[in-house]
Amino acid sequence: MRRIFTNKIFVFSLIVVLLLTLAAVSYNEKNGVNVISNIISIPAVPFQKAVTFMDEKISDFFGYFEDIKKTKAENEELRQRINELEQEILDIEKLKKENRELRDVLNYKNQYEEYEFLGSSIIAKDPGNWFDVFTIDRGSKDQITVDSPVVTAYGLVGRISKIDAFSSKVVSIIDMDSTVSARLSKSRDLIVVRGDLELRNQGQCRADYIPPDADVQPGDTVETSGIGGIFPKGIVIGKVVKVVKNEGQYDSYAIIEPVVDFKRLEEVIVLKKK
Amino acid sequence: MKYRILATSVLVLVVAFLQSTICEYIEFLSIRPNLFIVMLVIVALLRNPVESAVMGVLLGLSFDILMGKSLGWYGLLFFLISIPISSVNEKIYREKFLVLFAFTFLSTLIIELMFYLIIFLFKDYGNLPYVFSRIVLPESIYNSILVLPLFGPISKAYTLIDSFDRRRNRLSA
Repeated sequence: MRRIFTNKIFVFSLIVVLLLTLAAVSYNEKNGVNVISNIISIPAVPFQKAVTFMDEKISDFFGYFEDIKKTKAENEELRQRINELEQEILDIEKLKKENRELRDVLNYKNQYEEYEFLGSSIIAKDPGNWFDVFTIDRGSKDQITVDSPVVTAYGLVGRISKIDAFSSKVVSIIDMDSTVSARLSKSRDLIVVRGDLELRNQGQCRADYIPPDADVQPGDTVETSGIGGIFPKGIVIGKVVKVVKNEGQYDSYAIIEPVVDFKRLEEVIVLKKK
Repeated sequence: MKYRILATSVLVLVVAFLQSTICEYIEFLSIRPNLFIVMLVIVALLRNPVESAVMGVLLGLSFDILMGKSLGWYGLLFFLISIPISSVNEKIYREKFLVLFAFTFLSTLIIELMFYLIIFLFKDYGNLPYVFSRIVLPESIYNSILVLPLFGPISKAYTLIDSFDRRRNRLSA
């Protein structure tokens, strides 16, 4: 037995087989083997947070002097804007009341009622050049689950793909592994938004499976359809910037500019099921 | 041995930390250098095949973990590339800039092209000219430049660790 383990070819083959098995088993995001990633992620979290903190402080320091000049001019503008907004608030209050009454009449269910909003910071970006996955400072201790939607105030960011004790990985919508069932806001046609390696560098993604008779134009808004059960309906994804029409029935595709700027993203919101 | 294990663990953690934080700020043409590959080549050029293979698996798995996708692919590729480099490291002038550049360039090229093949097989992504010209080639050049200032300090650190280990062995004998 001992002789087998000292045989170089045997050891080499054993390691290769073990690594291939690990790759096959960990392919499923929900597999328990992914727990071993805690070995790196737990010690890395404090350092990643420290770098993010320092980055913020340095940016704040250099931005401070520039901000003073801008503040004076902005102050004047904002005073005028306050007057306008006060009038708008009165209008909104009236609309809110009407909305509440109509919802009660229709017994309309707010789909976000089943989610809790969990703010979190991005502590590390993707280490390589292939994907667009980032790390946030929320983990299994915050009871979030795989596939929880991740958003900002502007729109959809992605979904949780892996959870460690104190951090999680988020697959953004521009990642080549991301697929989101979506809808064109204007025509209500169903499409599929997915990440693309070539468009990733420009912070864009593409919409596939556009029906041949669909009315899709540059500038159209794309939102989640709610189909698939991962993302709630109606979250804004982005705007169509280009439509590429091909002859085949489902060969046309569109390039989407997400509302979220992935290069400058710092804070996100995880939608945690109640 | 004790110092070597400690040094290996610290080195892997430091590389993992730098790759996930600092590398974001030193992007060039939207391409980040891969410190894991740079470190793999340096270790494989300095150490014996067993130590290099162990380091290869550890560095590769750490990179897999940081990427947040399947675990094991980079572990396997790093393991496979570490053995041939460490087997010939005593027969070459490893301190020469050209040797360092060539080994890092070729290692990055092979590892990333093999990874592209995995993506091609499992995710059906097939635009090789784009991948080669916009990702693999720039990353290979970037890594090859980065290896030049890093080889010296790491080589010295390993010499220091070896001297600690020798002194410890002498004392225990």
